Amino acid sequence: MSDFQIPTLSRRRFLAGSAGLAVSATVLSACGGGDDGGGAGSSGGDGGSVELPTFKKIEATVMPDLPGDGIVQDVYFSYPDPPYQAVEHPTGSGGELRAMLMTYSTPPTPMDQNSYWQRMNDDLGVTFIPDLVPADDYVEKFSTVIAGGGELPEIIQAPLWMPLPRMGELIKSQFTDLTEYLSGDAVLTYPNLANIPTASWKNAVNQGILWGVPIPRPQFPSVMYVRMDRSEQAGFAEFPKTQEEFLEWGEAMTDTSKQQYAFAAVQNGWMENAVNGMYEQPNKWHLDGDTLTREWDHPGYFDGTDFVKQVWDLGYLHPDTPGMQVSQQQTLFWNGTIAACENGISAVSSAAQYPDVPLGARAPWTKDGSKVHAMQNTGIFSVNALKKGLEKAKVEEYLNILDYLAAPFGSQEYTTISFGLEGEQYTIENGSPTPIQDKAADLAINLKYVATAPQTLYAPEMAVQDTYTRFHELQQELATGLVPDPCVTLRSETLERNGQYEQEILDVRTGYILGRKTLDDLKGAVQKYNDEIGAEVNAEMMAAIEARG
Amino acid sequence: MARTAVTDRHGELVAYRSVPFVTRLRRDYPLLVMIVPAVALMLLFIYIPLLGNVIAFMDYVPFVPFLDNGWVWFENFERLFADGDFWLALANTLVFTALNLLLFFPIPVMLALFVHSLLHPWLRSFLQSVLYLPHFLSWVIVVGFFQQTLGSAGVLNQFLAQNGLDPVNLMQNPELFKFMIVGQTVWKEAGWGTIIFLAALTAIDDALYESAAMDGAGVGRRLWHITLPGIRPIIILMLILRLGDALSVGFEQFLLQRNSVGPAAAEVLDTYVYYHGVVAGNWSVGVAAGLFKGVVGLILILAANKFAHLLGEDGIYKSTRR
Amino acid sequence: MRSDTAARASDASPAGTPTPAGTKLTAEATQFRTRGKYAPPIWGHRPGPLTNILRVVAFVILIALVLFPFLIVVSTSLSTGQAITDAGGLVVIPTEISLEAYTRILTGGVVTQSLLVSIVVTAAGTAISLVVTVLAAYSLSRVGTLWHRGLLMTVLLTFLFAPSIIPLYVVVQGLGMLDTLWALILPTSLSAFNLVIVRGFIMNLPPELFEAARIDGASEWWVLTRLAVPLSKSVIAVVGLFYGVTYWNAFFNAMLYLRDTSNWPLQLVLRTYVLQGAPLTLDNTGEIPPPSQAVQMAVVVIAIIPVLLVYPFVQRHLTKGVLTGALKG
Repeated sequence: MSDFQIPTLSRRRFLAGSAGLAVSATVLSACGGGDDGGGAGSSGGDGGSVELPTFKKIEATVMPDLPGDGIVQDVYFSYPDPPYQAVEHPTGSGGELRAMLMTYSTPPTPMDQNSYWQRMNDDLGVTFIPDLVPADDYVEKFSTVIAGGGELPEIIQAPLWMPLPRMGELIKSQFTDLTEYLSGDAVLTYPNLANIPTASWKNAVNQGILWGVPIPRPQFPSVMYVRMDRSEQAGFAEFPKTQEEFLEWGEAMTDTSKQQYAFAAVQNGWMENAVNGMYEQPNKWHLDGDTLTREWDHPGYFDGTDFVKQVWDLGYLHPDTPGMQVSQQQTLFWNGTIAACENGISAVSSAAQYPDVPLGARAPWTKDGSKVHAMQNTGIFSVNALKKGLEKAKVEEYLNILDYLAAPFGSQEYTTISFGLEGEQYTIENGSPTPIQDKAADLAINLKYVATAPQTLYAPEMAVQDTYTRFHELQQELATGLVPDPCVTLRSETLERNGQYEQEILDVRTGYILGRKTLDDLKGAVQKYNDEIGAEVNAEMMAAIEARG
Repeated sequence: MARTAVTDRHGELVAYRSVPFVTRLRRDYPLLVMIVPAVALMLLFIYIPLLGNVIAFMDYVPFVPFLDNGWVWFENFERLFADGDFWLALANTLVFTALNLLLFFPIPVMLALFVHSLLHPWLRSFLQSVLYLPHFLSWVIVVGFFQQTLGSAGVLNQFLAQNGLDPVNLMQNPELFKFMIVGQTVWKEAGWGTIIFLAALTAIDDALYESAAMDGAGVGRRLWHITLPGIRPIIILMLILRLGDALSVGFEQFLLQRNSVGPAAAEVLDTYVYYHGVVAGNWSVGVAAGLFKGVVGLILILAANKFAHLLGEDGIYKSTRR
Repeated sequence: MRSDTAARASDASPAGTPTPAGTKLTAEATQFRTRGKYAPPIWGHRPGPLTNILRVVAFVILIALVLFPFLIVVSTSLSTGQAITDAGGLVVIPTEISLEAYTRILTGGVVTQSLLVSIVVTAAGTAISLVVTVLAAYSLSRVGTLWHRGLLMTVLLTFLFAPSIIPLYVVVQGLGMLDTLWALILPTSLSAFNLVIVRGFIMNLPPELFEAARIDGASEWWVLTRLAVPLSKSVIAVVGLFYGVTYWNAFFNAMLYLRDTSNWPLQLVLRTYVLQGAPLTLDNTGEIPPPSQAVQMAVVVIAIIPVLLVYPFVQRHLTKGVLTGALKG
């Protein structure tokens, strides 16, 4: 900061008051989701029992090339033809439908010049007005708009990744209780919503009510992506499963004189999925009878940290790792500077951009390579709520619209929602809808963040079909060893309000790996958490688990 | 209009204690009218919303009605002051401010004098229009550049490795971090900082130089006796304003490098507030820290101003009793 | 004006000739009058060869330190994704020029529309800010007037204490400014920092000028518009630049107060390009790829071009002295 910069108040305000992740997005994002403090990874309710919506998978009219099972994703190599009609019921009855949504894309073409938007208004039976917020700023806008007390939009994307202290009160005062509409078999009125897996719905329960509709995502954690070309050059046809071979592989891949390193990780990520797998760590929490423990209450936490320190000291990790950003890691991976790094399960879609790079992936195996030990994910992108005070008829109308938007892959509705109008936003090439580049902005009204079907993998390009096949097998492997988080969807008020304790553990751990801190310091930070908030947090979590039943 | 006021050495009105209010109002109302728009804007967009800062004394959560948040009075401040990390962040911040004042602050002044001393108008305006550019790069990009040049896998270390020399770890060294921060700030902001001093230089009466030159004053003496005194009030003003902001040394720049050097070296007040207020879900703590910063800034400004008066400078406001 | 003075001087007395007053000019003083086309600044001097070399070196180093990274910014923005990946993220000299990043940003008309919004907001905002600031600065430069101390403190405190976002939002909402461009201008239109700077300049002007005018019976308005403003042109230009840049770079208020994306200013639109795929922890599925380096750098270039275009107008006021002969009348 300069002396002479105009003191832009926004920065100070940002710090002075409200929540802000503005700058942090790139900083905090861990490759494949770090231990993100503040309960950011977990989400959902404070218990109370409610019957979750019945899961009823829609049978595909065109069989996938590699069929999934609700956990493992369906993989298609060709576009289903002809698409079927998925929605029979009416949608909206006119008027405006506003939605406050995050966006990762640029603003849409204005409605009057946007044939896709106009068409979707017709299909949805409402004038759809998104209030789009760049994803990094969403937390601030959400807090401000709620606290501002003005009229809320009808649909609100709830930022479950942020600390939401007193979330129960928030839900009760701002959102509509959807239990009677969606709980149990009631959801069958909306077949496409019933197609959303139960694990995703769990996130939408709090205070004994169902308060929203999840945007589903795969439940798999990050995996280690591997450049098979570099691996094969060094004589490894397969990425090794055991810890011992992991180190051998690391050594073979590292040649500092040629600026080549085996691994990298985004800030604080430290290849945590691979390492947690080796040491068979719990997924954030471990429930044994009625005793709740954290991951650092298990010896594997410290052994795993020591292992990372060993890898760092051996120089197998890129030296910029402590401050690494996602984009830098991606550059280093695709240009071959590093040979492996962890990334989210859906990052496989980048493969199409680099067809020359043979891409492999490794599941998190235990030390001896005998089984997979992978942290189960929340299975959502977000949960979307309806604002409070809507009449029953309106609620049903909006749920019909959400159901329409959740039409699965292979349906006419899905094609229009995802690709737009043929000849306007996409063309059919080799039987596959291909977006027209210049028209991408038409689709940026972000309907896919209002409601959507579980994701499928679709790879029309021959070049990457091998990769997708490998990933399908990988997903099947992962599914054999998914470790659930016993506290997923549950929140502890004390933990929400004291994120600095977890942050300190994270900081000290990084310090220990880099040699700035000792193991005793790390144990001290854990002890501090346990002494000062641990008991209270555990008690709150236990109460929540019991209430959930 | 009656002008019976006492004036100081500048011929400015100083003491009015004896003049009745109505007379003063009648005489000064044009000046009061001029400040009305500014006062209105400050009231609406600063002072009224500032009332919201009472949440520093509450256990505030934005998701429930305002009055449902309980009053905790000074608990948030007590929490801050009882936390060793807060004092660490404060100490770091003060070190960075001190380094900034010592190592950064003089550079824009010197650069401005250098630009000013260039004779060729084309070169002068070229330099001037290039220097300020880095201000417009974000910290992510600036830190990226430093990483790519001086980082462990950067250009410098590649060069050292090729020549068989030992690598140097500049970007992950907590000891050197202070100087890296100053270096980055100098690169990004020094050019932008010259602008205000260049403006100050234009306000020096050319006639002074002319007559000094006539009297045979060399370049050094002209610099010392005309140029520097001419911009001294602005330098002092900038210094005092900087002190008012002493507890803000930047945020993103530190957040980006915090992991590489560790919080012991890189935690400053703003990052502390970020982790203990924002990330930790404590809105009140952030506001409490903001109030603390403001109070400290106020004290520093008043003290610096007092000091300036002792040196015979005006500072931000003039002493009314001279 | 300085150049006029210099020109007058050189017309009147060619090099080395005695001045009308009969004094022999010193070598230093003479030099002001001998340089024809490039009239040197009046404070200038002809340095010795050694100093000159040092100055050239300093000049070149400064330029290189600043321009080299900018070369990288521009080169990277013009490179293909493959070239950038191969180069490790930053390109010094592009192997082949690719305008892909720019076409990607500029097609579709969204950026052009937002550019218009930004220009309107920046122009109107800077004008409003300057008027309010100069009026208040002049008013506060008159020490000892009614309520002077209190008003000055009122301004200073705004430099030290900033309101938080939520109450400000409530005010803006209450004023009915949500979804209007006013919300991008008025809340940030007054900077205490800038006000204090302008006031400092005005107070630094020779007080004799003002006193003389006042004794002649000039109104405060006359003194402000005819004396203070013309003599403070340089600082007004600088503070105008500060305000302009703040409005130009601002995205946060737009994010908070605007619902209609067709009112988004350029920086908010550009922000979405940089953010794409720099996701929060929420998206740990990796489905949003990180932004391309080329696009990130193109965003820098696009955002900086308007500043480059405007800066020369400000710079004009930074090169000329404003006070030449002002005292002598």
